[in-house]
Amino acid sequence: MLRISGLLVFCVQLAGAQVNISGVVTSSDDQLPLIGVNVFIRGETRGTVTDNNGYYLLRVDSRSDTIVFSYVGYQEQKVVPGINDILNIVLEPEVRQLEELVVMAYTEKSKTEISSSVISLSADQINDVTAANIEDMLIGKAAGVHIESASGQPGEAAQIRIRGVGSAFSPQMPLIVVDGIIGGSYNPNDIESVTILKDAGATGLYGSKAASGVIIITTKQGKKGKTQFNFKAVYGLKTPETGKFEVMNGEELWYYHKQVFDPAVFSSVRPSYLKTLNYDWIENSFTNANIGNYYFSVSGGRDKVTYHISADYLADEGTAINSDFKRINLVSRTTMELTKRVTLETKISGTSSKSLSPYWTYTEMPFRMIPWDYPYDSLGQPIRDVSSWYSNTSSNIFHSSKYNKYGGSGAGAGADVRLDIRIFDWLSFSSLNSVGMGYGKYEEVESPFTVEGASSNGVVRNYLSYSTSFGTINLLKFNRAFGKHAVSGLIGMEGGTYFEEFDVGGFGQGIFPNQDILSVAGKGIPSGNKRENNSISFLTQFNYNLLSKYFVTASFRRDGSSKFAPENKYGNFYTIAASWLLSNEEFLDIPSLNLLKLRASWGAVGNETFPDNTFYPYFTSYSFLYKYNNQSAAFPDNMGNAFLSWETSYPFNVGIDYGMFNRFEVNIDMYNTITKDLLFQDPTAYSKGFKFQWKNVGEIRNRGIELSAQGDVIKTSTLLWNVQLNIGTNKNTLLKLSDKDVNQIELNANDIYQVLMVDKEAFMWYMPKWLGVDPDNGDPLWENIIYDENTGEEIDRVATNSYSEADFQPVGSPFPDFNGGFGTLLSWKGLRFNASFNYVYGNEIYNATRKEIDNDGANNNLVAMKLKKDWSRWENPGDNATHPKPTLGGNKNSYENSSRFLEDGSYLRLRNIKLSYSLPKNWISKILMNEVIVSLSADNLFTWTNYSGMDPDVPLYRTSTWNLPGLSYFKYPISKQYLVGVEINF
Amino acid sequence: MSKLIFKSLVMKNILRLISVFILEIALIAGCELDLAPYDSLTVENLSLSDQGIESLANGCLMMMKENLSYSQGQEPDPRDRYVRHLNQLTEFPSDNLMIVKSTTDNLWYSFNMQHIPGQINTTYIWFIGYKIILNANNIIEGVDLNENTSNRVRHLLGEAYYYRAMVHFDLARIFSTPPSHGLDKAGIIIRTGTSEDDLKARATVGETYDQIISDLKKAADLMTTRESNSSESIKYGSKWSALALLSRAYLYMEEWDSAVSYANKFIPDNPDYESQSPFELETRENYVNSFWNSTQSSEAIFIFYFTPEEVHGEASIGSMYNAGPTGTEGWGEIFPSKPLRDLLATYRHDVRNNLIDTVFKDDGVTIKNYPTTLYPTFYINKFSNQDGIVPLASPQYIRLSEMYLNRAEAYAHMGGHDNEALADVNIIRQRAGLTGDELVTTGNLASHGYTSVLDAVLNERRLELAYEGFRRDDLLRNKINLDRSFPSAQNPTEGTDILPWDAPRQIYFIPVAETINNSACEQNP
Repeated sequence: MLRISGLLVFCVQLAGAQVNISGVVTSSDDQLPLIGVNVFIRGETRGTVTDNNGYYLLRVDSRSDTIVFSYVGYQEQKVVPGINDILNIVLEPEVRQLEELVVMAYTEKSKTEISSSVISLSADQINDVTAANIEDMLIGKAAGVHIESASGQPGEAAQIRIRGVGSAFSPQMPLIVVDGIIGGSYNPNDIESVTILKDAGATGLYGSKAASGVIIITTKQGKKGKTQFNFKAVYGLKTPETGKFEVMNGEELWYYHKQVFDPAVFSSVRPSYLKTLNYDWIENSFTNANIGNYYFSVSGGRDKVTYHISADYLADEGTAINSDFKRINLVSRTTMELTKRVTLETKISGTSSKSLSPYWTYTEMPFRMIPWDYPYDSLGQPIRDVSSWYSNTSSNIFHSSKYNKYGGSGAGAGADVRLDIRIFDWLSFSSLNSVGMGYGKYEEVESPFTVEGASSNGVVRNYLSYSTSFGTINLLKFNRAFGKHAVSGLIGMEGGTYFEEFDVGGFGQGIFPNQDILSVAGKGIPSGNKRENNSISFLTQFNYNLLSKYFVTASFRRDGSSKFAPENKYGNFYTIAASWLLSNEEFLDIPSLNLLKLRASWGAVGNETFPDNTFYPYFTSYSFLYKYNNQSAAFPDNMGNAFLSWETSYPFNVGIDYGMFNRFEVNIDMYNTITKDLLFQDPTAYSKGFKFQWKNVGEIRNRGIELSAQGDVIKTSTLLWNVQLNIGTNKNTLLKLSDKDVNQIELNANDIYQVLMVDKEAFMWYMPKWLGVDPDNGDPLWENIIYDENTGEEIDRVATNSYSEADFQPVGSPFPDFNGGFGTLLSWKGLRFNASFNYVYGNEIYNATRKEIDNDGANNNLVAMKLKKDWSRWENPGDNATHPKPTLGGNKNSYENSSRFLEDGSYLRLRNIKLSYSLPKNWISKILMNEVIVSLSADNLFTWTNYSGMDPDVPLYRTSTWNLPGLSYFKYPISKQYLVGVEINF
Repeated sequence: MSKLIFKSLVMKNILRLISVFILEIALIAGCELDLAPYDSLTVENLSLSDQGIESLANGCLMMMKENLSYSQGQEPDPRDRYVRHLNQLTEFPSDNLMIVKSTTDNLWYSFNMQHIPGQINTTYIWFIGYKIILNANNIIEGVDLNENTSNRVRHLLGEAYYYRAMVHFDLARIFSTPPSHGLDKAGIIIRTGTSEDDLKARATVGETYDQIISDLKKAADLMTTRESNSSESIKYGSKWSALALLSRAYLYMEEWDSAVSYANKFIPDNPDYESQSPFELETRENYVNSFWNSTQSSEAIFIFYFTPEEVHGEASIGSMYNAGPTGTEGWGEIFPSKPLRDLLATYRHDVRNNLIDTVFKDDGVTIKNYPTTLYPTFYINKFSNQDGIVPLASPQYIRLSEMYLNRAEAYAHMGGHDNEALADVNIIRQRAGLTGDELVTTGNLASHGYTSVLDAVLNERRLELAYEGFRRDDLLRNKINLDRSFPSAQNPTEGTDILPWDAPRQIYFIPVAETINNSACEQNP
């Protein structure tokens, strides 16, 4: 009887009665209670969180319900209470090291499996810097990755290069992949992690677009559990940074001109009251500005759906006149388990931005203006008539900027849809599809009041562009283990199309002041153009590992591109990589050693990216863009090449990864990449009617070593001190040219040359060699090489004061001997401090600004640069000076391009320093917050360098076809940023 | 779960997979990889039609006045135009002009004579010149001339020869010595085909001018005029522009008889006069306006036509010469030199004085100095005021007055034709409003300050053709040293500044962009 009733009671209890389950949740590494752990019943939204003591109380419907314990940074646990009323749970931290999954090309791999040179960064490691783009956040963080913060223009992304000059002449950026979508868009605050792929083994599967490396960005996804709200705000001050560059003030300039002008005319052309005038153009043209970034996200999920929705607003004021950038980003990412085997992920994003850009005079003229010229009249109004000014300019930037406007706006929307089907446990299918639309408008209004607009009675220019793109990637993936062996891989197809209508609009003249639309113009000229390109590829990868000690990966890809000549549209590319995880070997059983891996990879990767929107390079074209007498006219535009084909790189990489105590890790990589069939804009003799022709011209080799090391110097339960450093070297050599009669290639920007000579280091500065100043007479001296008339060999080198006799020769390299970064992180209880530096050493920068403002009296209608401490001007016979005698009209062309203006560009910059404090949990839980972090940070605080120009951070790679690596000219100055931030999770 | 359910689930998934896959393949297969640009055509397409040939011919003219980007990928600079650089490179290094201050614009090198091989203006004009020649060669190779060729295409073919000759001639004037310094000296690179080697040497001066003459003669044979309306037809090459250029070419070659006979085709007083020639000397009343609005000029033979939308402000040809009545509509930094002003001032009523606007201070009497300098301000308005817009002008490349002066100079050299030479000079002087003793005779040469009949002719050319790019050539051809001992920014002490006629820097360097890629092309000394 009792037994039956007992059984009945038992059944009733099991069957339906609600029960309270409670307990304490602690962490396994320090046995302390975990506060804020999500405790809920699987399949339901109802749940609770642990309190300050780690204690929870949950009402369950039945003892057979599964209770889920979920907490960020820890492994999730699912427990069925059964007969227990008290469930005390110990959560294990997520093991970060070897089993951590790293997002790779189209797949994820665990760190152990990777046979390639890969850098993996978490959001923490990159989010210390506040910026509009990922490029700025990566500076100094990864070996072999070099980023230049190009200019101070808000919204403009920095140039990023991985591993030396991938393709010598086509300035190619690394491929950016966002959540699997190639070229996708993202919001920097949504970044969860970043993986940088450097060698062929890793990038090979992306094919030709990845010849310069790949940056894979993974954005945040929702996690199951209670909904999390995250709010971040950063606000701060930007101050313009002009480095060591200084111009003379009014008095200094007067004395300098006194040396230049003939005493007989000097007092009439430069009256002495000028000494008292001094308007600081640079300080008044670049003023302090503000930057603010506000981010809000909601994420969470229940059993079959997770979501992450975010909104971001960036307002970045520029330090120059009429300069700013505002952007809004909205993203919604949801993942749905449609069935147990089918998952659908959708991401919808939209962005809208508006910007004002300064006219080029606002950012360049302040560095040239003479301090005796005042831009305002006695009533404080900017003056228009500058004919009485000493500076050689036709307009007053303060007047023009009051009435003129230059700017733009843009918007974009995209939808990514990803379908994953698990067919069998070992076989799955993925389809990633993305659709994007972009819109841009460029607008210029030049009022008839201003000098720029007066001659046309006011000008309005409106150009719109509209683009659509579609991409799809479809893969079949498999993954199977057989005892000691495991194989995995994928096979698939990828395709994309891009279509753009651009420059649609026109320019109109005859505009009434304050009107800014085309229809009211008196007369106008319309424009409109379109272009497109398509690509299609087939790809496959195979991975094999034996005993989790020996790993091999091989991949193959076939790409087709519309940019090459008809016979050469397709290219085949392949890679292979292998590694040996010594630390898993039994014979190597050193307890402190947790990682020792040797790896190597090799492959053939194609490149088809042409610069500057070249869509049809193989086609000889005559363009109709200009008219004569309002009739259509054709002119020779592009010299085609019927044989133009893919450029192929063969990157070979060997690396060692070494880790100790799970606290220290060192990675060393050595690479040797040979690029064949280099795509180059080969200059033709101008008398043929074209300036260049795209050709496959030769072979170049890129080789170097990269080292990165990081370690937790101190690690206790409360104190963490982590140090990281990375360093890389790279050397380019031209191996051969396909045209046997030629043994060098020259590149030129504004008549400044660099040369690539066969078997010599590539991209050397190519100009006359400056030998200094003749002490007897202050003349400039260059080197003239004397050749034997018969043999052509060099006999002698002499000095000459005639520029046209000076010989062009290689005089220095724009590339550094080495560069990299280092940083440190200190964390104690809730306080956290980190600092990161980047450095460049041993490069030669060509300071092209000096031609205009340090030219020994050639041009006295521009200000002159202040001399550096170790510079001096020749004055009397016998003087050993660095600068020739100042002479009216110039001293024998002393300012022409030569190694005189080549300077050492080495620098060390404190890129970022940040102090943050996470408020104690017991304070903030009273106001229902989970986490509140306040922070103070500063970017670009100090730069140590000898470079006399504004910023030693110059592009070390060719950013476009009209630029050269290492060339420095006037630019929009970068800023120091001082920021205050707060982040709240609730 | 049961095997059946498992199988059907797998099948469902496989079917789903297949349907998605098929959709994707269909989309990918539609990917077209053979694409062509929307804004251009190949030259084969162009030569197939009359329309295409006309576009190429218009292209030659367009390139003379547009600014194209000449450096790899660089944005075009609005100051880079054939017509602007042609004027500046040939007129600035003469004794007609002075400049008030140095500038970073490469035109400064034409004043201080310190040329460099990498100069932007010479590189641009070389670059665009050969592009024009390439267009012309495409027409010449593309047209199959036979009895069925339409008149229009025949004419366009003639235009191609004309433009080719014209550009070769202009480049020869800038980059090589004139024929009078020796026919064996290095000329320029002659390009007569579209598929020539990159490596081509410079022809001699003699060969260069022979090619120019031959092209011009072919041109004259093939052409009449493009349009029937004369103010439209002067915007294009025509039989007349070819004949007139022949007169100039023969003059430069020192072939006096031919220079005279081609000039004669335009002047009614002789049997060689072509009665269809629609040109008449401009009147004194309309003289200034005929420069401002050259489409209305009765003596313009060929002009570079700029439409009213093509106003280029600071970058226009007139800008350096004229800042307009407000002083802000141009740079206005180049003035007539003191010797030229003195020559013009000899007769204040000479209409050519009206091409100069003196800038006065507010009192209306004292001449204003250019700010921060001691140079009195004089604007030249020969290239201004089209349709009332200060920086707009359509410069005349050839006009009837030059024919008279070509004939006069040829006569002066020939010997035994002094009276005829001076008669032509006087026609020009009378048109300018001079009479009686103000005209020149063999008797009153000295009273005018002229040392010879040739001197009188050259001075008249100086007055009449001022600022049009002839003076430098006139001095150079006649082996007269360039004397610029007058105030100008490159000569601030106003000391002696004489450049001998055979000095290397009278001629510009061949652009380094050519010599570096064409080792067969030798550089100038």
